[in-house]
Amino acid sequence: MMQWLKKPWPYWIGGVLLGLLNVVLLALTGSAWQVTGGFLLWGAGVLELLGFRPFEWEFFKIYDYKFGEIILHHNIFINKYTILNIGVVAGSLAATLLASQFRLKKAKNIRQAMFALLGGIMMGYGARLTGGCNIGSFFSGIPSFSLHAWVFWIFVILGAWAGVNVLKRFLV
Amino acid sequence: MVSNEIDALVRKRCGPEKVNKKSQISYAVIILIIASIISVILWINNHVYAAFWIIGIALGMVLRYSRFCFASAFRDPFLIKNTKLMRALLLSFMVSTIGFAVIQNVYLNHNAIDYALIPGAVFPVGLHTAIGAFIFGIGMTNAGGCASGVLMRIGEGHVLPWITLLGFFIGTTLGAKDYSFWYDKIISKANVFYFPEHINLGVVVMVQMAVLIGLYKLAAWYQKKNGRIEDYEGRILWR
Repeated sequence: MMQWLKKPWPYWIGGVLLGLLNVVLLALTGSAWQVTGGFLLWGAGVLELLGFRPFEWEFFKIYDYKFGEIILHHNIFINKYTILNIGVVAGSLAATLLASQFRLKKAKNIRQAMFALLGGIMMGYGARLTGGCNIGSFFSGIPSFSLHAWVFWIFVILGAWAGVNVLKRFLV
Repeated sequence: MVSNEIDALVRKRCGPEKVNKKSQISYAVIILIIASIISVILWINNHVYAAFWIIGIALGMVLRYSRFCFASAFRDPFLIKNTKLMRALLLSFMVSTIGFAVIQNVYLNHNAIDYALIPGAVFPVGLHTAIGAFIFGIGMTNAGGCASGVLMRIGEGHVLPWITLLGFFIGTTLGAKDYSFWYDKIISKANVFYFPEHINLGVVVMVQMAVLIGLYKLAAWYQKKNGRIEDYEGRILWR
């Protein structure tokens, strides 16, 4: 039992289950899996607390069908997108603890932290242009039969390839 | 045996494998009890919230238990010539393609096509998709993980993904602020291309399944041809 809890699952089982869960989520809620929508609401929510008016940006008018109700009911911090994200963290935490592998792991150095911050900013900005990250736009887009997801696939690979070459240069 | 060794090497990069001597199962049980209580509270207030919460937890557990990492799926084929994750991703697309098709078929039988309301993720395609995905790809490899990976590694206890998450907040909020610029220049002129609008859904599903299976075979062939493993500096660890 203990060993069984510690054992990682093969990738293919993970793949099949993630695909299935995305289908179940869509069937139950009408929304496919997405991550950055929740991040955006939190980011904009903090700006609003600081006295800015982010929800008057054109973006939220264009995507009113997605965010309108949430903004109207002032559910900026707790809504379906953020609940899903917190659930993923909680699930990962539970799985890590079940395997007794939870360890606080600090960043190695400032440079690694800078890479993490910069990478996050780039991902966040890129995701806004494409309609989501590689979950919302790609992982949920391919099975939605939308051409954008295939274009995303090609260019995320090109970007990853360019990124690897940047990484290699800095690490050598 | 050899294939297991490669798996071990690949996994080394995706999460800590060092096993703590002390069992943490009791903490896991506490977390799961709290999660169940939250499920009940959410269910009472809003049934849909409870569904998002429970599926989120399931997604997190699967991501962590299978060490699924989208960044690695894109990166490994050319970094270490390993396509195992990419093939797992293709498998998951085969499953979700069938599932989404059934759900969308129900929708299409009862409604006119409205891109905003079609169940799933249907967005305009154009130059902005290419630019956004390219930037995303660079960021993903530099941060060492994508959005789902960030959430997963926060759950593992890492500090670094919190920094990436902060970056995500900044980047995605900036992106929304600048959206009117991109919208006026590119996105407003871009169209949605939703395959079932032009071709019968059944045909689309069959073609897509054929393409996914073809890509799977291609990925398997590629790994067989380049059966070796390198570290970040390009040294060959295994051939």
